[in-house]
Amino acid sequence: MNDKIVFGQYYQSDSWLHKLDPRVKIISVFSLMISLFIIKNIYLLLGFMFLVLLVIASTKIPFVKFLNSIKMMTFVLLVTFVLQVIFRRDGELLKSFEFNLTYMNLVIIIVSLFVWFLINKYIKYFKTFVFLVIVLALFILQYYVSYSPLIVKYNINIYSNGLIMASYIVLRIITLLFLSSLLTFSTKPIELNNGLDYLLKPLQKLKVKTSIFTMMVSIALRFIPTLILETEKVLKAQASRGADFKEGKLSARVMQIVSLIVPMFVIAYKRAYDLADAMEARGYIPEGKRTSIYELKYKFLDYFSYVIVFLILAITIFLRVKYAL
Amino acid sequence: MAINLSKVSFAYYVPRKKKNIKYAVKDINLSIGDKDEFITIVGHTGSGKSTLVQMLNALLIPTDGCIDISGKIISKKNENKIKLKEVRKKIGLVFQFPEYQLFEETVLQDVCFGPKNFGITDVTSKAKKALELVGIKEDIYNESPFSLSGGQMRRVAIAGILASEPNILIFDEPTVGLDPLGKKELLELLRKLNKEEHKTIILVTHDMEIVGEYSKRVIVLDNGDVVYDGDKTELFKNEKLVKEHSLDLPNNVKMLKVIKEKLSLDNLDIYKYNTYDAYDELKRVLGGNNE
Ligand SMILES: Nc1ncnc2c1ncn2[C@@H]1O[C@H](COP(=O)(O)OP(=O)(O)OP(=O)(O)O)[C@@H](O)[C@H]1O
Ligand SMILES: [Mg+2]
Repeated sequence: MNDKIVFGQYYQSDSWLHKLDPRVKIISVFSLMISLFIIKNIYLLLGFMFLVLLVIASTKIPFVKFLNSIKMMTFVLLVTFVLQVIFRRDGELLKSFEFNLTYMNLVIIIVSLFVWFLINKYIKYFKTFVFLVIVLALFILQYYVSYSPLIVKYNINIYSNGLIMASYIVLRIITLLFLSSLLTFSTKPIELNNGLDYLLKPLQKLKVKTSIFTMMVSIALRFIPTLILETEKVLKAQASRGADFKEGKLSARVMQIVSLIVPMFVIAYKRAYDLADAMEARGYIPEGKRTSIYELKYKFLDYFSYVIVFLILAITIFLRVKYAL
Repeated sequence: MAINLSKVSFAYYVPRKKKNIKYAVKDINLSIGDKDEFITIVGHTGSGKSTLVQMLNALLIPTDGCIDISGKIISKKNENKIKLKEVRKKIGLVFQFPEYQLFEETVLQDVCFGPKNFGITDVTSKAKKALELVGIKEDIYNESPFSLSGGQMRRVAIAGILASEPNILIFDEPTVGLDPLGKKELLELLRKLNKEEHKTIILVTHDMEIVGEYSKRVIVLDNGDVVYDGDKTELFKNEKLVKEHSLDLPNNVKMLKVIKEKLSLDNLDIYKYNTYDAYDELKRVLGGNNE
């Protein structure tokens, strides 16, 4: 009835990547991640990244979605970059900046940071960006303005290797995020689970009950949309009894959240029991041998992808071992 | 008039380009009084009934058009200014399977939840009054709502809405899953609220018997449009309309219709929805023939 509720990050499309066998995708992404960590040379990394971008371009998934997936990390990435640039001191000196921390500047810095903490709640868009502009402005201030008594003078030196290392680390993280996004955007959670089911099968020889694990995962996945719908219903029912989840005193709000959680538990339990009964009625035995409705079979493209991916892995290992690249 | 809808449309999902929007409810104009009305809303599955009633209670804000609820305007434009609580205090909405909204430790506390949220005074006495109205005995006031039977749970849940004393009560398929007696009792309760407390009752239902026996006014929805709004008998007289929107006649009417045709009783009024009324009508017509 309600297949509109998509959870996870799956993006509907009919690209070759979507049609690829989930096992291939899982193994490929892992192998490529290993390659990524083996690569030491920044130009090689750029080449690798270019390949990943090519794959992205061929999948019809909007690039914006990939950018969104690194959006959360922007702050971390920036901090990493800046710290690397400032604190690495090898290679040649590219530029040196001299800053004057005066009493007046200190006051301005404290006041503006204070104001930021007061108003940042009201900024809706580009929060990180605004903050960065403020920080930058404060450094520019220290660079140019030096009235009033000086507290301390300090230098920030930028070295070539610092810059390279910083870009290397940031690019590596971005590529990593792109790779994992490629997997999650192009594969439904249920397909992923099915792929895992197949990949974990060999473990059954060691008496590990992998099928129970994957069955649990697929039941959990199946119930996420249902529970979202039920939550929505309970939320509305309590809202029409005057529950207000946004405003009000803390004690009242706690009560209102309880009014949501308790019914959700009741519903989840009831659903679980119903499902258990239904499964039992159809003769489900945890250890039983079952065939899958989604039989996975490798096709030409799947073998081809394996070959390419292992080639890439082999090349990166070779370059690393032989030339330390 | 208490509720006025003008050109109200609602879509669950509006694409960015605002093209090909799939409306659940489209361009509806309605007015509903806040006293003494008993309205049923019918229409086949997916016709937008639940969507419409959720808008009446400001749970959903219309995508286009505006709703005037006794002077308070609800529309996309002033979405943030609406005092939702004031609206919801006046208009109580009971969902299908309302028993899933119970959560408190005791029955009485649960019924108090609504009135407390709305800042009503005398919460406990109002809650007790509501519980009495729905026929819950005093000896289970302090039991856990989860230890009750399904039918009792539903009554408690309904009491939870009644306790805030709304002028308008909306029920979305309230009789689903009740046994025949429980169903009858619930409907009689609604009738009592309507007759004695002068509340407006709005009932979403698929059951034509309920439409016939209880309501005065019927609103028929089809594919998000109001295709009929008026007296129930006028609707049943218009057989083309009834067929077109996959509705049906109440059993009594069907039976009287057959009797009228087979016995060619031209002056038999077939629009009697209650068995006793039907009997009286038959007696009137047949008795007249025999004499
Ligand atoms: N939460 C939702 N998200 C998206 N679409 C929805 C949602 N709820 C309803 N719809 C869609 O809106 C339309 C109207 O649904 P609505 O629930 O109002 O119908 P209804 O008349 O109450 O049907 P029923 O008799 O089955 O309860 C349907 O096409 C439905 O698919
Ligand atoms: Mg409905």
